[in-house]
Order: sequence, then C-alpha cells, then structure tokens
Amino acid sequence: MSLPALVFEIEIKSTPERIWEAITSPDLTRRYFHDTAIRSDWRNGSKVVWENPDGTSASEGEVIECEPPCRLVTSWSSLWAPELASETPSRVTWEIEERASSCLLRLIHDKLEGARKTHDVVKNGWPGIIEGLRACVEAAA
Amino acid sequence: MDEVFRALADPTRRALLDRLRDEPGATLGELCEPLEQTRQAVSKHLGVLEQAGLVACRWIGREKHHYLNPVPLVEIHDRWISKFAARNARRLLELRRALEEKEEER
Repeated sequence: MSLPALVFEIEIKSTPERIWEAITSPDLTRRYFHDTAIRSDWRNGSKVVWENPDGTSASEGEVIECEPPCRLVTSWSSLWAPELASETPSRVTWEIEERASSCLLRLIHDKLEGARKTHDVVKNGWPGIIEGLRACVEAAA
Repeated sequence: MDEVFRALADPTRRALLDRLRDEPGATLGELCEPLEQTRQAVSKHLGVLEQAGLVACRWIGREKHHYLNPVPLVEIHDRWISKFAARNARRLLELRRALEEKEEER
C-alpha cells in the first residue's frame, strides 16, 4: 500500500507575499528551518537546496511549480542522515490561501512511497518548522 | 485555542482523530464504517474538528480526504510545556508503562 500524504495547516496573520518571502528567502529560513538557508533561482527544473551553515546540503530538491505568492512545489530528498539520503525523492507542496484577515498555509508532503524513513522523521518535524515560520512572519509584522 | 479544547472535549471527535492518525487521508465514508453514527453526525463532528484546525482536508477528484493536523496541538504543547519539562514528563509516562506491564505479567 502506498504511504498517504502528510498534510499540515497553520493560520498566519500576514499577507501571502510575506509568507512567500519566509519560505523562499535564505535569511528568513535560517530563523526557523533548522538553521538552513534556502537556495534556488526558482525556475522550473532548477535545484533547490536547504543549506547548512557549513555549506553542506540538509535537503535538496527540484522546482516543479513556482507560482508566487501562492504555490510552490518541489521534490524533496533528506540528506542530513545517510539512511534517509539513500531513499527516493518525495514531494513537498506549499499552498498559501488568503482569508479575511489572515492566510492559511498548507504544507503537503507526499509521494513518500520510496521514503518511509523520511516519512517517519518529517511527520514530527514539519509542525515545529511551520510553527516557527508563523512566529517569524508574525513577529516581522 | 478555545475551539481546539471544545473540539477535543467530545469522545467521538477524539476517536475520529485517532482514526485519522492511523489512516491519514480517510474519506467520510471510511470514517463512518466502524462508528455507530449516522453520516450526518460524523460529518458534523468533522466540521467541528476542521473549524478548530485539527483536521486538514484535501480534495482529490470528487473525494474529500481528511488528515490529522497536529499543528494546534504542538502550539498547546509549546505554550505550557518547556523542553525540559517534556523530557521529565515523558520519563514518568515511560515509568508508568513499564510498571503497569510488570503488574500485568504477574
């Protein structure tokens, strides 16, 4: 049986543009994403790297869809541990939905069929990351 | 946060969250099966859970899939339980589990 998707939602009192910036700007990801700086030119097919402070990659992927400020889809390979790095890439989707006075950020991590260990690790990791993202965006407001 | 506690105050809704933890992506039809409740009642409970942010939904074609969204629970945890306290609380829970298992073996 295929592994079902992981879906996380969080309400953020901010604008889609600010949330988009928090997802795609290295200065901001460093504050909430395990000290990693995100790097990409955001063209379809381009590489995305979540870079550790020492310059190594914590995670890598490829841009699949990039529609600022509402939707970003990338593939995902966890490189921070050898047993995760050997798994096949999965997929991460960020969706930002504007509400009356806030936004709903939805993170979907799927295509995890070949990445069971990644599934078990990120299941517990994402809530803390998007909670950190919310705090980071709302503090800047 | 009031909505989260209100949603959690009902045993059927907690049972639904247990189901979604074990079967992420379940549809309304699938969730109705073992519960002896009408489709409308289960649908209403899911609505309360959605409103509280505890259940995230995703449409795939015509089917609505439901997922346990742990983010509001993490917020509650972080608000009252520091990292240090979490470690100690977990150790106590593990101790209780170990003692209760021993008791059952007798």
